[in-house]
Amino acid sequence: MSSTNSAQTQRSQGHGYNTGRRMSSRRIHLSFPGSVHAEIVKVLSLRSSYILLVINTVLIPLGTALAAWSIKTLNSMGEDGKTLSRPRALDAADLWMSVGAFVSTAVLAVGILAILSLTSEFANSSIQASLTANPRRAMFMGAKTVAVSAFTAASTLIGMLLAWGTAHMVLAGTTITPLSDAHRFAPWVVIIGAPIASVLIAIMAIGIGGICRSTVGAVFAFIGVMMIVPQLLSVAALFGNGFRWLNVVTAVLPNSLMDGFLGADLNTGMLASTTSATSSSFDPNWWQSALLLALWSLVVYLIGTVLVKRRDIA
Amino acid sequence: MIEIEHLSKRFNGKMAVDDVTFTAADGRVTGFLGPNGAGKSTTMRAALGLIKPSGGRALIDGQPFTSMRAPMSQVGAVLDAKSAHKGRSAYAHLLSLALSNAIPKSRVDEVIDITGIANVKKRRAGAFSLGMGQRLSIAAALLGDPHNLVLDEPINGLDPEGVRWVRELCRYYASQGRAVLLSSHLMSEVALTADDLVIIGQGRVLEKTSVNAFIQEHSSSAIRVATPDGELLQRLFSSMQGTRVEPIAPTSVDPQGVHVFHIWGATLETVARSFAQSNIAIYELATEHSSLEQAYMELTHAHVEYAAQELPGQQVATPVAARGEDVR
Repeated sequence: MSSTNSAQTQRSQGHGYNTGRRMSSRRIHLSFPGSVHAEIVKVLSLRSSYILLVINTVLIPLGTALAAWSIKTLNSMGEDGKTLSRPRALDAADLWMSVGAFVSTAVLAVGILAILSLTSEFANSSIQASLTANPRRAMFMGAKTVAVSAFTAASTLIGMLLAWGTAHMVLAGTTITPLSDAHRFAPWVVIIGAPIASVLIAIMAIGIGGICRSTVGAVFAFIGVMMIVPQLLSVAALFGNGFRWLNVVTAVLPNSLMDGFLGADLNTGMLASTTSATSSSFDPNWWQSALLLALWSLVVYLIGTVLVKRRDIA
Repeated sequence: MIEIEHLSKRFNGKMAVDDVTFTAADGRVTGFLGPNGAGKSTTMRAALGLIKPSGGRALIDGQPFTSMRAPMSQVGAVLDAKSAHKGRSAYAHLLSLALSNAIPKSRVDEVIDITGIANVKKRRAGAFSLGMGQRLSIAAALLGDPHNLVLDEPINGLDPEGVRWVRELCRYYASQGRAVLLSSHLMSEVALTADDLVIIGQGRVLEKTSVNAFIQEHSSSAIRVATPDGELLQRLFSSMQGTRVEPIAPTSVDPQGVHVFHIWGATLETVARSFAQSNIAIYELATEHSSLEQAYMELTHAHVEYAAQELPGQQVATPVAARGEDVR
């Protein structure tokens, strides 16, 4: 205790004002890895980050449990609604679709985390301190994106592994027919694709944050693009043949693309009707969906970054 | 050295800063003075690349700030008393800033000790008082042991001990050959701290001078006289060459029916002797120095952006404000 005190006294006796060699200009410099490290500290030092990441991780297996349980129930029922003495065999495609069933809902949490990582800086004026430490705004945005992406990927991957285990647990005792040859890579697409898709949505959300700068505006815009617009469009498409083209628009919105990507072209099974609610003439396969989703992220992120670079920080 | 060259900034068609040019030299504290909305913060933010100027440029040690290799060791800036995320601890805020510029962690503890916030470093910045927030902002500015300090009203919210410390800090950094640009709307504060003065009003530089020159130019003094024989007094001084008498409004502490004057261009002794010889009754006779604050207010009066309405019964017509020195 006394040694701590004496060290503090020594420090406070003006030595902090003279910093010496360790603060020499050769050592002190702005760098991208340093900025990423700074952004990692920022994410880890806020309680809201933990809450949102945990929500993402927990919602994924929770959704899987619900989906797997409903498959199991349907599978054990006869056409007359009575319970079968021996449940039908289950297609492994349905198991894998249940594993990825809730990723596109859980991703709202990481999207909000991504938005907050930027807009909260504007709300708290900490953006001034951040951009005075790092005046290269594109690097600042890039560092934030890398840090948020890393946490998003980890959180979703853990969620997916838990979901995989959950599906097996819920469906234990059910006979599962193996995947067809055409679908043999589907599990990889689902497990690895989910973190990638979450990261792409998070990057898009950072872009939305850069465009809006206000937390409320950005969260509303994000929820709008992810949930409200697709629903409005699918309702509008029901008005008649003249509105059918709206289905194509719906199909290229991020939410549908994410479902298309993580559906891994397994949509032949029982869950197909729930995950691709809108059928349209334009029906991209999983990798096309992934590419289109990446395009969304890239374009929105670039617009956000250009606006953050151009606008004044008052 | 901070060089502001013909800097202009237009916000929504209104000139916030109009062709501002000045230099904050190494080894000196430059006081940047102006009323609210004069353009001080806009100029400082433009120097730090936070605001893109409509015209002109700002250089720090000969370079634009945005192209610096180590921004935090070139400039330490205090722009706002609330500069950290409300939910983040002071330590995490400082650590994240330090990491971006590869500043060692030990330096974070050091600036926490220097600024006296060690006891609250784990506390959320949102729970900080204005003064503690200001200390945290100053801690962030000192992280890179910078060669230039840009301080936008750094004493706002600080206690008297904190104000004195900021004053000494500015002097200390200047004594080490660094440039300190210190903005304030209080002349008295800048007069105590700065070497050079840049006075700005409605976005334009009104005066560039040194504190000493400003004091010399504006420290005129007058003699305040309170007398019941107003007419007699005016007649007496009308014949005295080189003096000027100006009636001013009596204050509430002056006796009823009294006439109050300022007499310029005569010594207290001469005035007292003349009164004695002319048998004029005097209630009060005192030398008053015009305060720097008053001189500054006169200079910026026409350039005040946000003026409040005067309170009833208050008259602020006299150029001599500080009372009570050399009362005899």
